Amino acid sequence: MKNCERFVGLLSDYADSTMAPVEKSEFAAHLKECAECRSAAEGVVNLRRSLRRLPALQTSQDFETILRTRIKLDRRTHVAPIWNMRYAGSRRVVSYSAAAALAVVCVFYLWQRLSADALSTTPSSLTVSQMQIVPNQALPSVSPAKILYTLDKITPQLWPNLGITRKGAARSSSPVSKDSVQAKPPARTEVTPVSHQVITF
Amino acid sequence: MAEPLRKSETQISDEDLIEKFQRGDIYAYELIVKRYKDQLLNFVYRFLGNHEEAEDVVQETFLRVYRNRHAYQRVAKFSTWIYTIAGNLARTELRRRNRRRIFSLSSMGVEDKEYEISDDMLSPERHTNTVLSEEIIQKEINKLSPKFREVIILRDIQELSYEEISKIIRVPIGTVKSRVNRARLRLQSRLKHLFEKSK
Repeated sequence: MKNCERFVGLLSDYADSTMAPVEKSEFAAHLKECAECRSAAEGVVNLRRSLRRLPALQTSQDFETILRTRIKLDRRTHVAPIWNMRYAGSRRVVSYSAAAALAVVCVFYLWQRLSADALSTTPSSLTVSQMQIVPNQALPSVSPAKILYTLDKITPQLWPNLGITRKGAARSSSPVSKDSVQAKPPARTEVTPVSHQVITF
Repeated sequence: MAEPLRKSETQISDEDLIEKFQRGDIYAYELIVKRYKDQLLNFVYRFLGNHEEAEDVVQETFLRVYRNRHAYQRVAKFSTWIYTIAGNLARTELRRRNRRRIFSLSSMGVEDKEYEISDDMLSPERHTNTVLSEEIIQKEINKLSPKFREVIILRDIQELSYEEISKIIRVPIGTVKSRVNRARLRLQSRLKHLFEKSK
């Protein structure tokens, strides 16, 4: 009985008649002794026979007509994806072209960003004299106390001209030292504009 | 399209047919459909146990073959490729159906659940009827888990080789053999009474 597990594992080979001759004689000898394995072997052989005898089904008569209609509809709505093209070489060309296009876009974007940064850090690019100063009364709805500006529009070089000081720093009417001008401003800083004036660009 | 295949048409291999179709020969596609529609229907029907759903899946299989004809490469047998597509679609359909069943059972009242048909309603006395025997066998096949069901259908109903089954379901041959063996053992123990009656 201890061999039952081994022989159960060979039942399919027995039913498929793919057993090696040595195994086959061992298996036959075991079946003579073991009623349980004998019953299982008979069961598997019967099952295999029954499954093969199951009636073969046929598709309905209009199967191909329906299929043709579906294909026609599909052709109208479905565009074959480009990666389904026949030749792997073409697929490679498409991939390389896409990668190159992406690289060009990235380079262009970086170049634009860099030139914008360069312009904004050039002191001569924007001076107070070029700004139009209008009286505060023109915009009565603007809070007279404090207005928040994004500092990437107002460069540190312009701060003294606009009367801007970093929050917490002592305000002085004397010219701002070089160190304080070069200090990196925070991303967003509270700014007090020159009194009675609003700057428009 | 219902007329039988001519001799020259049966001699041409599946692989040659799909290559012709890849070159734009629509007639080659029609021959492929003729060759495989019933085989695939039997495979999918035994897997799903529903004729209508099975026919839908086979339709979808041929549609995929049409759409993705250039994805086939001659390194694999065409039959392996088309059976893989059909098997994947059948498994997807089964999962969808199971989700639907869970939903409909959860929305049923207690009283509704009592009217579900039990397997015990098929008494052993009626097993002598061949049609009923087929139904019982199909019912027992449906009770197997999909991984066992698929291999036993491919092996014992479709009569494919272990090697081909291994390629279709993408598992090693040893695993296929072990699954077939276990599926056969389970089925034979559940259908023992049927075989004893028919002796």
